[in-house]
Amino acid sequence: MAEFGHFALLLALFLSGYAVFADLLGAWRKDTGSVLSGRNATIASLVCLTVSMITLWLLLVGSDFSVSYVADHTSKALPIVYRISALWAGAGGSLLLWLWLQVGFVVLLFCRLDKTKRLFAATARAAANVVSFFFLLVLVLDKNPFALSVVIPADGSGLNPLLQHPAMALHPPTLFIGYAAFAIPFAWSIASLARHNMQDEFELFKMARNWILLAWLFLTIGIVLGSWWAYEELGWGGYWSWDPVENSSLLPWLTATALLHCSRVYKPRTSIAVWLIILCLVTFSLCIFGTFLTRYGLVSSVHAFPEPGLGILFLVLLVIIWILTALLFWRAHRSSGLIMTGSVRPGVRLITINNCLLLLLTLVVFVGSLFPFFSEFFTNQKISLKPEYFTKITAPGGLVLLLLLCVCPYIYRYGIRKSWHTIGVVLVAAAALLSWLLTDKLSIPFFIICGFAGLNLAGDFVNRYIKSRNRSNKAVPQLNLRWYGARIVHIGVVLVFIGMAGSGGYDIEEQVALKRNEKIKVAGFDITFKNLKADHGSTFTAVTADLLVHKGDELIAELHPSQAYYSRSDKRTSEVDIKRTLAYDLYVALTQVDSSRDLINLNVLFKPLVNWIWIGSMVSVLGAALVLISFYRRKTALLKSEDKDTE
Amino acid sequence: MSYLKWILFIVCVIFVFLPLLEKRSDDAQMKGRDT
Repeated sequence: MAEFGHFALLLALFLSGYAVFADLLGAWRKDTGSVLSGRNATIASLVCLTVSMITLWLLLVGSDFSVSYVADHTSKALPIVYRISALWAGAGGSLLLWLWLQVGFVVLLFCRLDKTKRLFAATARAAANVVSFFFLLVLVLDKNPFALSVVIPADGSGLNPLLQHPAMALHPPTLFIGYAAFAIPFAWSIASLARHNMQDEFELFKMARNWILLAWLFLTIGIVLGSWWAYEELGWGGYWSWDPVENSSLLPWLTATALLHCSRVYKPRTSIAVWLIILCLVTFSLCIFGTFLTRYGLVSSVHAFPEPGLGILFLVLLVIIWILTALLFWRAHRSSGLIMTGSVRPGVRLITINNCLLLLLTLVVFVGSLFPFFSEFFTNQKISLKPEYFTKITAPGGLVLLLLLCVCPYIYRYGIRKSWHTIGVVLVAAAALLSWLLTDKLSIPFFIICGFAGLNLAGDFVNRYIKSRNRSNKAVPQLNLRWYGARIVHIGVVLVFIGMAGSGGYDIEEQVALKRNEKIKVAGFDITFKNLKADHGSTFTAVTADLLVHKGDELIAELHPSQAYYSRSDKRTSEVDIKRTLAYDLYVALTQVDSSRDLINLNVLFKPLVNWIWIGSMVSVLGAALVLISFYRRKTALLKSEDKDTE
Repeated sequence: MSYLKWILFIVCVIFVFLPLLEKRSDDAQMKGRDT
């Protein structure tokens, strides 16, 4: 069966290579036969990739340890859910999943465009298939998930126990949906540049914009799931450690956020149109670069899963993409394709500030992530930057972004004028700055600006309600999902900032040692160690501590943090227990156990407002989904009206 | 499994190369526009 999966991969490699050739030839010679052949080759490569995926899944579920990928990432005792999710546990499988999604999205969009856009679709497909071809090369030559084991083991190594968590089963596929969906705006950008007159095609831009939002949505879900997993599973009480692997997903998210705002003010044949194309290319390049960074082991990471091999091919692909982009820009410039005849609204300048700020943050995170590599390259000394470097620069950047969130929608609509709003912004900015200087703490300015942003958003809803009431005697307008969605996303962002400011600025962490029936006070809570229990599973042995938490005389929680030892993988994990409320989390991790002396060591953290990070993220995701639904509704309404016209 | 490989290969080849063999009338139309 593994041989069949490998053959399907080889066939997909040939087909995607052929699709590039046929599509480019067809677009150049305006030959329908070649273009259709290229389209069919893309569809056929998707079929082959689907066959490969299903084959790998069957091998994983059937525990066929003759395949080394199966032996390395599963075991007989592993639950079926994690055997299925083991598909993206290693480099080969995750690359296969990304590729399958990417080719699937390309087929969904660029293989279904009508005759009038056939040449544009062919150029876009060729761009996407170049990327697919490189991915397939890496898969076939280096990270073949169907490679056979040298010696067939009786049982597999199993999945890393830390990864056996629902968030970790979902985190990689959601990230990959995001990465793969960014291939659509990337292909759109290359095709727009190659057929530069297409900048005028607003309809095609709208398609790309929908995919930008979809990609951003899934990337956000993926990043939040990863953070939640780190908080719940790793036992250190944080959700973001500015590790290169974490940063590799944040980098495209930052540029994608800039891209989303830029697409809001897109106008063909303006500087914004060119800027948008560059942002699309940068975002997708960062997705590829992130994979290179993660898998090639350019810089060391606590997530440590570098498998060097042919990872350098990702870098080759990036060089090719940017040389091609430079050539296309040069060609468009020479043939006057980049002449900007349109003008942009004055409020767009604020979006430009938002974009510049987000790109500046991207640069800070990029340089910080690669600093160990740069320092070793120039000074022969590997220097890793502490998380403080990132927070000291990104936190003030976040403050300015929050302030822009209050100002931008208003100024975009009405321009800069003397009003209570403008005065309010100046006052709030001054109050935030003053509180920062006086307290030397960034949390207070964050709370001030979050409060102001919340008031602004509430004001927006009230204004809209009043307007709709005044209009109520006339025709009832349809619910504007896009308007509500955008505001809900911003409400979510404000909640996330409140959570980060609260948990980052006022958290308390203490390491304590307790004997049985001993009591200790941490952050106003009395924690009593009552009992120690042992537990044996098929793959692990665990010890669980029973703790009572009192606030004053009131018992508020019984917590049971535990520590498990997995003998097969020789790994120890800490299963934390958390008392959750909307105001705070009391987070307890069992770090050491001395059963003979009935002594335990605990890591106790008091994290105020931390749950608002997860609530805010969910609100943002909901808002983005509403905007996406509004785009879909408009598209179907447009198609229906076109059908009526043709009738 | 080997016959499955051949079925996949043959179906893909026919599907991909068939449009090249068909005679088309919309080529001239497509050459008339840039999209």
